[in-house]
Formats: sequence, C-alpha cells, structure tokens
Amino acid sequence: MKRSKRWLGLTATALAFSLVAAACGDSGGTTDAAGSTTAAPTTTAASTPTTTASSGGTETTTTAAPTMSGTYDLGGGAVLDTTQCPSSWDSTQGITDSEIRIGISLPQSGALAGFGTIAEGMQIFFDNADPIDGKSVKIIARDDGYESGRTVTNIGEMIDTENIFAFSHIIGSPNNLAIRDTLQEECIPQLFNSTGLPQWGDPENYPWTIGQLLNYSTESLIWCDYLSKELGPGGTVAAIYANNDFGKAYQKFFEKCAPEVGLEIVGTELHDPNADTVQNEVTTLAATGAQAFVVGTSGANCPRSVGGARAAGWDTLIMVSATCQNVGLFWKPLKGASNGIKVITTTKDIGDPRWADDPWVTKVRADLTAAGLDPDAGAQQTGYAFAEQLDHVLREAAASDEGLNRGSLMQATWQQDWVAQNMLPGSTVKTDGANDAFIIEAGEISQLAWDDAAETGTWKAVSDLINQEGQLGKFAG
Amino acid sequence: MRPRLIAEGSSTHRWIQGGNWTLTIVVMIAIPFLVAIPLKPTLFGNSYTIGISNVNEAIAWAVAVLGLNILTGFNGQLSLGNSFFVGTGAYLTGVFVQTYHWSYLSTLIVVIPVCLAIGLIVGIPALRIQGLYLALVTFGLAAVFPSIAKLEQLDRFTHGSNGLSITSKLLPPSWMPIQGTLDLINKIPIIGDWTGTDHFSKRQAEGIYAYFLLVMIAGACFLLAYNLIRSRPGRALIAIRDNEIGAEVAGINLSLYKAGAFGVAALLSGVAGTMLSIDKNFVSPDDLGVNFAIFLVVGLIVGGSANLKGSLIGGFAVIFVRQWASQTNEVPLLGWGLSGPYGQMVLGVLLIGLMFVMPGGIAFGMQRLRQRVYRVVPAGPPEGRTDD
Repeated sequence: MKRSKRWLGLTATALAFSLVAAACGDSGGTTDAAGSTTAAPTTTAASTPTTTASSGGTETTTTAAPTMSGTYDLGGGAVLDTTQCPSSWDSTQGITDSEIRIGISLPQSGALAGFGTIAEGMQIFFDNADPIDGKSVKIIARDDGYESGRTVTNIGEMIDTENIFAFSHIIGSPNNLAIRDTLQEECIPQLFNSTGLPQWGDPENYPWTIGQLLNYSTESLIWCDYLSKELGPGGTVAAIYANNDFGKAYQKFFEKCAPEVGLEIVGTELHDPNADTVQNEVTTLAATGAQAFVVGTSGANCPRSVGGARAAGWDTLIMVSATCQNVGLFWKPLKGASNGIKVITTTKDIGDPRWADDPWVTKVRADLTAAGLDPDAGAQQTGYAFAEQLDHVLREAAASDEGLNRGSLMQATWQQDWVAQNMLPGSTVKTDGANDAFIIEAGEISQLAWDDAAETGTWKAVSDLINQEGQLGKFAG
Repeated sequence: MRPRLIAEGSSTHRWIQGGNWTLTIVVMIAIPFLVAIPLKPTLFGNSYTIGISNVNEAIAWAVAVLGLNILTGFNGQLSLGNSFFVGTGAYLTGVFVQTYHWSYLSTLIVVIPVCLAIGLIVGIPALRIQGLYLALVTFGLAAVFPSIAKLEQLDRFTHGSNGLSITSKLLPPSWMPIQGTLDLINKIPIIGDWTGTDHFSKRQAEGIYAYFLLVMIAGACFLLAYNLIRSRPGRALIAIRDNEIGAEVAGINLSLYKAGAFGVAALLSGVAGTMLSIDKNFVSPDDLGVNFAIFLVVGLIVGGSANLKGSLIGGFAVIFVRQWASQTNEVPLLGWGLSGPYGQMVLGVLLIGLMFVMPGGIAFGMQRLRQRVYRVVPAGPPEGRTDD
C-alpha cells in the first residue's frame, strides 16, 4: 500500500514538473507585438504558432489566409492588416440574417451601477432606427461591476458564445486596457471606449481600438483657450489635480498649453485621490490669489475643492473637470456656493430648456418615454446618444463597396466626417487615422446658475463653441 | 431513514474513497474541455454561463480563501486584509513577467518569500490586537493597497491606476494532448456534445493549459494546508483558536504560531495573486481593494470556515454566484422582470438564504446531507481475535 502510494506520488510529481518546465519555457518566449526580448528561448520552438520549414534553403512561414482583400488604409499611414488575424477569423462573424450583434461590458452592480442602463438606452435607439442592410442591431450587455478582471472574462465568453460582431462603448480605462490586446489579436473591433484616455487615439499600434469621449488633453487645451481669452495676457491660474493618471493627464497638458497662450501658473497642488479632504491644498492655492482656479479632479473632490475655495473667500473663476458635470451628484450639496463655476460641455443636455424644440432632444425624450422610462432620470439618455455614433459607422460600412464587415467597419470608424445630432451645433465628427485620431474635440464653456428657490442648478452656455477639431493628431505616448 | 454505518478501512469504505478520487480526477480532466467554449444553461428564462475563464479565476480564489481559512478559520484571527497579500502576489508576478520577462511560474520564487515575510511582519503587531480590532487594522491594509499600487514612484512598474497589462502569454506545449483529449471526449455520447467544437482556438487552448497549471498550483497549496492542519503546528493553531490561555498553558508559543499563521496565510494569498495574473494577464489596483477583501470573507463563510473543502467551494461560490446573480434578469414566480443593475440584490438574497439553509457553510451542509445516507465509523477490533 505504502509502496504504491509512493509511486503514485512520484509519478504525479514527475508529471507536475514536466508541465512546470513547459510553462517556464514558453511564457517568456512568446512576445507582444512590440517584440520584447525572450527570457527563455530554449523550449519555444515547439510552442510558437509560426512553423518554419527549411527545405532547400527556403523558409516558409504559415500564416492565416486572408478572407477579404486584407489591408485597409485608415489614414495618416495607419493600416489595418487582416492577414495577421487568426485562421478561424471571419470578417462578418456576428452578422446573422436578421441581426448585427454588438457586445458591451459595463458596471450593472457596484459603486458605478448607475451606468448600467447605458446598454438599455443604446438598444432603445436601435429599436427606433431603420434597419441596417435589413438587419436590426442587437446589444448584448454583461455586468463587470467596473472590475477589469471581470471585463476580461465577459469579453472572452461573449466572443465564444454570443457570436459578437464588434464591441462598443465599454466603460472604464483599466477595463478597456485589459482587453485591448486580446481584441487586437482576435481582430475584433473595440469601438468608442467610454473613457477619456488619450491612449485610444493610436491607430498605428492599435487599429482595432478607438475612444469617443472628449479626452483629458483636449479638455486642457480648451481650458487654455478659454482662460487666455477671459483673463487676457499674463492671467494667473492656480490648479489642483488628483494625484493619479487621470489628474496627471490634465496637469501634463495644461502645463504645456498655458505658457503658449500667455497664462501664468502661480500654484499647483496634487492631492491624494483617496484622501477625505483637500482643504490644505485649496487653502495653499487660495493664498496665491490667482484669477482662475482649475479643478482637475473627480468625484467628491470636485465639490470639496470648490467649497474650500469659496470658504477661503477666494474670488476666482473656477473651471472644473467635465467629469464633475452632474449637478445632482456634485453641486446640490454646495447649493449657492456652486454658483458660477464653469465646465466644458460637448453634447446637448436634454434637460436644458435651450434645446426644448431641438429635433434630436425631442426624439430622445419621445423614444425614452415610449419605452416606459423617465427621460431625465438614469443613464439611458447617455446610451441613446452613444448609439448615434455606433449607428453612423455601421451604416457607412454597410454602404461601402465591400459592405459591412469588421475591416470596412474600422475603416469607416477611422475615416469619419459628419455631424452628430447629439453634439453641440458647430461641432463635427472627423477622424483621419493617425492624422486625426480623436472623435469629440469641441465643447463650449457652460456656467452653473444656481436657483435657490428650486434648489437646483442648470448649466448655461457662456462661450461659443471652442473647436479643436483636427489639431490633436494622435496619441503620442 | 437511518444512515448506513460503514466501518473505516472496510472494503466498502475503500470503494467509496476510491470512487470519489476517480470521479474527482475524471471530472477535473474533463471540465476544461467541456467549458473552454462556455456552457450556457438556461433556467427560468435566464441564460447563465460557465466558462473556463470563470473556472480558472475560481481556482485562484479558492487558494486565496484557503489562506484566509488558515488564518481565520483554523487560527481564529479575523482578517479583512488578505486582499493586500493577493495584490502583492499579483503585482509581483505582473511586474517580473512584463518588465523583466520572467516566466509566470518562476515569479513564485519571489512571490512566496516576499509574501511570507510581509505576512510575518503584519503578524507581529497582530499579536497584541485581537478580534474586531484586528479586523479593523487588517481592513486598513486592504484599503491602502490600491493607493500603494498607484504610487507615482512605482508607476514605472505598476502603470498606476490604468492597471498593468501583461503581454506575455502562456502557450500550451506541443506535447500536451489537447486535441487528442478533445477528440476522445467528443466520442462519448451526450457529454461529447457539450464541448461544442472539434477544434479549439488558440485562446481557448491557452485557457485549458492555464487551467491545468492552476489546478497543480492549487493542488500543491491544498496539500500543504492539509498536512499543516493535521500536523502538530496545525493542532496548535486550532488550540489557540479554541482557548488561547489553555493553549499557552499547554506550552504552545503563541507569538510564533500566531505570526506563523499570518505568514502562511499571506504566502497562500500571494500565490493566489500569481494565479490571478496567469488567468487574466492584467492587474488593476482597484480590483484588489476592499471589495476583494470582503468577498474573500464571503467565500470563507459561504464555503465553510475551518474546512479545506469549504475553501474550494467558497472560491467557486464567490465567482459563480456573483456572475450568475448579474445574469439573472427574470425572477421566477414574482412575475416581474429585473433588468440591469439588480445583480447585487439577487446576490444579497442568495447569501442570506444560504446562511439559513446551510448555516455552517456549503461544505458542512454537504457533509450533513451525506451523513443522512451513510456514516463512516471507526472500525471495531478485528473479528476472530481474542485477548486471551
């Protein structure tokens, strides 16, 4: 008995070692697109996907056969090469006789569960839209609780079981970064990431991925433009940023553009994003007496920064991040103290009386009401607006010579020139591959008007549209 | 119905044990092939998924719950901070693979001693703090981890709040008979249909390979824990939990064992972190915060505290119950549909319900059920032997 147990143990150990040895060998041996060096090249030959056969001195490499013409010019030198796609790849996968199937992963639980209804709003848009090539668009949504690990799982499962044509509007920077390499490798479009990270404008390295929102660098540029006009040459600015990637993106771009337009930065403070207060930082900045105060942070730190500046008696022009636009969430607690703060808006706010007769806003309200929803509550209206962008590229690709497929979809996405109804009048949607890799590049400055009687505030436009269309190029690392 | 009594070591008992092991091994080998293309059972109009990515994640979670079980279940030190150690393991693996091009498994050489050391260090102040206060202190660890990972000084390695993508992938070795096993399973009637394919894609094959690696690592961790609990130090840990003063009087070195329990728990949690990196190829600081720590405790309690099988069940429960809760859009009997962000609610109701039905956790609940069918009792003296 003892003997057999020992043999069993030895065999198991030997098996384990062989697996481990294999694992040690090839994990480092397979490299990313950038071609990083290999750590353990000794056992890779057996496991690398390309096989080399040398017969008579010639070397042949087996690669997947292209199913369509192969390469697509995205503009500015960026090229989409579908010949590198997996052998089982099908450029029209996910397009059935009756449906075009689009996947989305977003938080339907957890702290950001409020965004969960975006998918519902997108579906309502497509339910009320004309069919594309006689097919309806079906949105398939999965909950990731804003955890990037769960986004990875969701994407894998949707690819395998849901017959997905493309992914769209996935929420969260880490969530989108976590799946970018997989979708790149699988050659599946990852469209209109709902985050402002400049990294999404990189068609040369990641032709399958694009963002949509006003990115943090564009926002900084618009701040510079507006403040220089408001304050004139030599205007002084103090700024607070969250001490994370998000805040530091603001800092990097604002500190670059401010001197160029003649603004003087007289104070900069970084705050711990998880701290309970920003009082010290704001008091320090208030002591500079700068003419403008830039708030490059998010969440509860927006009202904290503004409240702190007001409490210190600092009479200054306050410019807050576009992430702090939600009046109910951020500005109601401050009441009158929030009066006069400014933010960049890029889309038509369906609650703004200015757009009461606008055909787009009327349609949004009608369709959401018909679906049994309150158009002013929830995030469905955001989803509805997102869907307009997706709808456009699907139709453009369907109208192309090839018809709708993954390649033509990406070409249509990187080659856009149209006017979206949900965006502010005067702004255009233009992309041109690596020449112009960002979608929303224009916004106007709005000022919060607090109404004491109604205990709420509304954003009122105080500037013309500031348009940076085409000036941003691509992500530059 | 009275349960059947089976003598320990009798041939029936051996048959049951042998059968259990055979079944476990067959199921363990078959599972990845059946779920590499996720299964989609439908219940009351809701479609649920069981995929290899979930299974792999659950195996990693099982090891993390195991670490907490050693500390909290067996040693009685309530920790809400084990996500700190999981995060440390996950990041160490991520950084060494991505920045220094190590292989995934070789990073364990770093992860194990580092996590053990951190665990021991954390364990020292824990000697003076007990119960709820210890929970609070360790909770601080969980809360602070995402901030540490986002430190500017570490940005070069951790890539801050955007998370760390690991571009290196585990490719199955050519000798691994993935295709052969798939062909074999496909020939089995009924079960063969579940695989849903006659050829796996590269990504699916990678998932299968990762599964077997994770099973082996988890197997080693569970074996370590099993031996620990049955040994003298293990009995000392349990004695400390049951009666600290009594244990000290009996000559047990409290400081050594309590700090040691932290060390072992941290070690196992760190290995779980490595396993998560292998599965996801991505590490994000905000995934490894307070939420993670709390779900570890959920896994511990749902699975069964102070029970090794409970850790395994707990890991699977956390992953699958959470996922299935979010996929539940129709609630039977109520007649009204749930859509969107109600997963958390379903999860809460399920957890409360479970605690009423199986108060000691699923592992103990299953044990009780089994004992209604048969019980293993110690064997009496061998027959035909007299003492004269």
